[in-house]
Amino acid sequence: MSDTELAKDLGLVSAMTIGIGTMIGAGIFVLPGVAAQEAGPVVVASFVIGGLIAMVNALSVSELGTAMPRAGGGYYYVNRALGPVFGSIAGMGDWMGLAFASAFYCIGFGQYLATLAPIGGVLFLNEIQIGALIAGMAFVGVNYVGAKETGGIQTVIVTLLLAILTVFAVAGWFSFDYATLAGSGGLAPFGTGAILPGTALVFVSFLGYAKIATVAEELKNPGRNLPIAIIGSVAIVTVLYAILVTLMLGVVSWPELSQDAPVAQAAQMAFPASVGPVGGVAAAAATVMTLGALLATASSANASILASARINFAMGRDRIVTNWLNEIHPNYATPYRSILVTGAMIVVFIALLGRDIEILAKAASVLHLIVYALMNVALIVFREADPEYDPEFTVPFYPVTPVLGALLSLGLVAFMDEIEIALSGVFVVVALGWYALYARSRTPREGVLSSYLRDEETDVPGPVVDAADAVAPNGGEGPTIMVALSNPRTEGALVTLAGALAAAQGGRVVATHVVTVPDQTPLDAANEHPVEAESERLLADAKRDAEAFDVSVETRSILSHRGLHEVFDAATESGADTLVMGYGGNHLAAGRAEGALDELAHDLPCDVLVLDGETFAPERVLIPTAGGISSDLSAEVGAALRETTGASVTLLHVADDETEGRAFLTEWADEHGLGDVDLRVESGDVETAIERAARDHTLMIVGATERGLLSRLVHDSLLVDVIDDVETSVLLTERPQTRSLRERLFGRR
Amino acid sequence: MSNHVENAPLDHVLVPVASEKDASATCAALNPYLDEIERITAVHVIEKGGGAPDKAPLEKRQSDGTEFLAVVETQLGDAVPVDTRIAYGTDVVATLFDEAEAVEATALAFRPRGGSRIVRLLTGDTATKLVTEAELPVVSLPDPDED
Repeated sequence: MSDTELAKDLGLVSAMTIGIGTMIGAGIFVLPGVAAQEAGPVVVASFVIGGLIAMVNALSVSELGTAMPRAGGGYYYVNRALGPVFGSIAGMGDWMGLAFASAFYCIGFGQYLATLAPIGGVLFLNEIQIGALIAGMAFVGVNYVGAKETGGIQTVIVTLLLAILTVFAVAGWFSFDYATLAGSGGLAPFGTGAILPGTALVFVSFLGYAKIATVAEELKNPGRNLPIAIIGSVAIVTVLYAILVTLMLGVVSWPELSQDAPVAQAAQMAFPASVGPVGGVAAAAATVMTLGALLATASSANASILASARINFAMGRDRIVTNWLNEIHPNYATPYRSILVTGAMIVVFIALLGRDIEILAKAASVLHLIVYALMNVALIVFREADPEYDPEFTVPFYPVTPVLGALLSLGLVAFMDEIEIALSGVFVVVALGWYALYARSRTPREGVLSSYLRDEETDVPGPVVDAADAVAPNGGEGPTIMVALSNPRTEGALVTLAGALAAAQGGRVVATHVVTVPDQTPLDAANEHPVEAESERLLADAKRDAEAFDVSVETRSILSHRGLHEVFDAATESGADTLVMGYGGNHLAAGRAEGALDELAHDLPCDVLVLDGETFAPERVLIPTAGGISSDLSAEVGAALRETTGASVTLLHVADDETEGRAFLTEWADEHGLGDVDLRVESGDVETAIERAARDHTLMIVGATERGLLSRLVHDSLLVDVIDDVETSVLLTERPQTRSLRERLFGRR
Repeated sequence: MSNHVENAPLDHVLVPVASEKDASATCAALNPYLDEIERITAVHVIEKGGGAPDKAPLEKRQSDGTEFLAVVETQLGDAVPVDTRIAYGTDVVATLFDEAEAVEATALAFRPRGGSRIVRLLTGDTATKLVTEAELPVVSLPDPDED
């Protein structure tokens, strides 16, 4: 087996038990009594409707999960699609929702524990809360230490539970009495209007399926196993709930069904008191059910705590929360800080809200439902705006399914009580506040949606674009300048350039060492021989050089085969606004450099600056221009260099008619905030004019405009000649623009 | 296999690395013996659940592991050729011995990480198992500062 196969060791059964194991604890063991008090026997319909809502969402999660099998689940998709504003809401929602759900499971555990052993209340806590707190702390402790057996027994627990419940179902079938089910008030004593509020209460029983998506990166063959496990587990538990709740209510009439330990009570009634000579069968059955309930609620809480660490990790990776949370314990190899913080929230929720299990259940549901609604919107955004989105599983009846999923999720929130709705409102405000005050200045990531809106300014109403601009992340309050380094000789020049730009624009520098790996070595394999001493030295130098400009610097290394694809990917990933790189050689026509520049003509991830030469001397800067979008970039760079390094800037325009040319250049200079620089207008041969002007300058900034860069380099070779002929170092600038591939390759005309 | 007998035991040493601190400590402990070592393969084992979700997010473990291994490469790479590997297995000790066999290491050298009895119990007491279940010569490196 290859290493990647070894790393992904969750099969279909394991994945399904995560889903079923998380869900089954709540629906069957904890809620039937409470829910039956709200709706009467039609609560079975409440469960089935909950299952259907979950199923619609399960389809969407499956599609998103197969498209992006990464840790984090719902948060990850929402953040990628809708950007960090909604990402913050989804991440916080997922995280808090899991904490509420865990508190709920712990209370369920405490309820059954109290029937086994009287504990007694302490201070303002009742005995159930005490049991729940003990359980909660135990689960947190187990996850902190990370005893590897905890996960392994999940499959055993689920199998055991299914066996116990099957026996219970058989016994229940024989004791089932329709008259008991219908009772005196009929099937719907509170009217059918009680069904949906019932669903709002029991929806917490369906919160397990999305957890499968949070461990998607560990799944074998996620394209196949993820959808089967998610959809399958929802289908299985929905059927189980329908059957078992019906049986329970046919054994114990709904007004009498226990609110704390319904299954134990139903078992006591369903099983005969004695079988032949053996007595105490019913009591034993009730005890077995109680133990089953303890296992079920424990595994639910455990899986939720495990999942919350995944969400923290994904949020930390995007800097929505501090990465401090995600440090791994040196001895136990667990994300102990994340587990402790989540554990503390669980303990607080149990202590403050544990007296009313309904609030915990609904709070967990509301938060998850908000995330589900956002996730459905994310799916639509990916489908409409992200050309690279390619899920292996696709939802049927698009766009009906995700639209329905979003509407159903939000619709169900409306059936919650005021307190839960208010709680969720407060929570959204807090999440937005968190984004504004903490995450916005740190997260480098922009969503597919806002990039789409901001790129298509012409098609989208201005206010929408302004709004997208207004909330866009500004990771470090200014632009991110990524500098790609592969050669120690050019490090100083490139980092100085990047640092000067960052200083002028109040941005930050991401110094990236590009480790070139031979083509025949797959990048995965090369991962085993990661960073050399050279890399550390290079990045340390880069850090020092950039810090000279008093800007914040981050360093990282990436592996790449030929350079540009991986570099561009890294630029996209780190949310770079500008990418600074060298040629990787002095001679354009030679080998790698030519290949590298060919690729420049492909989709640019951001503004790209390519420096030719090993030195960066911005004392006297020449900017030849004929207008155009990349010349705008040249002007910005020139202005930035003038500001930070005190460079003198000269603009050059070559025109047949000098008067017209001067008029153009004066206007252009004014437009670009360079009104007070030297203007030089020449006529005649463009190349000669540029060469002549370049002699008096130390750096020439050339924008790739008007014609495809590739055609200039390969066919027209204007630049090749100029760069070869001039002694001056040359900085090529290109700003991405929407052009067809043909135009890009061969020029517009 | 005959090579193993002829060669000095420290020819090709497999070095397990568990954390950043462990990586530095192990490098320091190996320092006095670098003359006798021809080659080092540093390994970071990511413990898998074997059908259960991992204790920690996989991607985090992988990026951490890469960093730990980079420490070994940086500190010893100038003196000896260093290879680095990330390995996966449900049993850390068995995985290490599998790796040793795969790279044809002649010995395994490690720094016992100490820890109280309870910590060792909770973490599976890797040090004891490395010694008692050894499939090749295992060297327990002394702390160079405790002379």
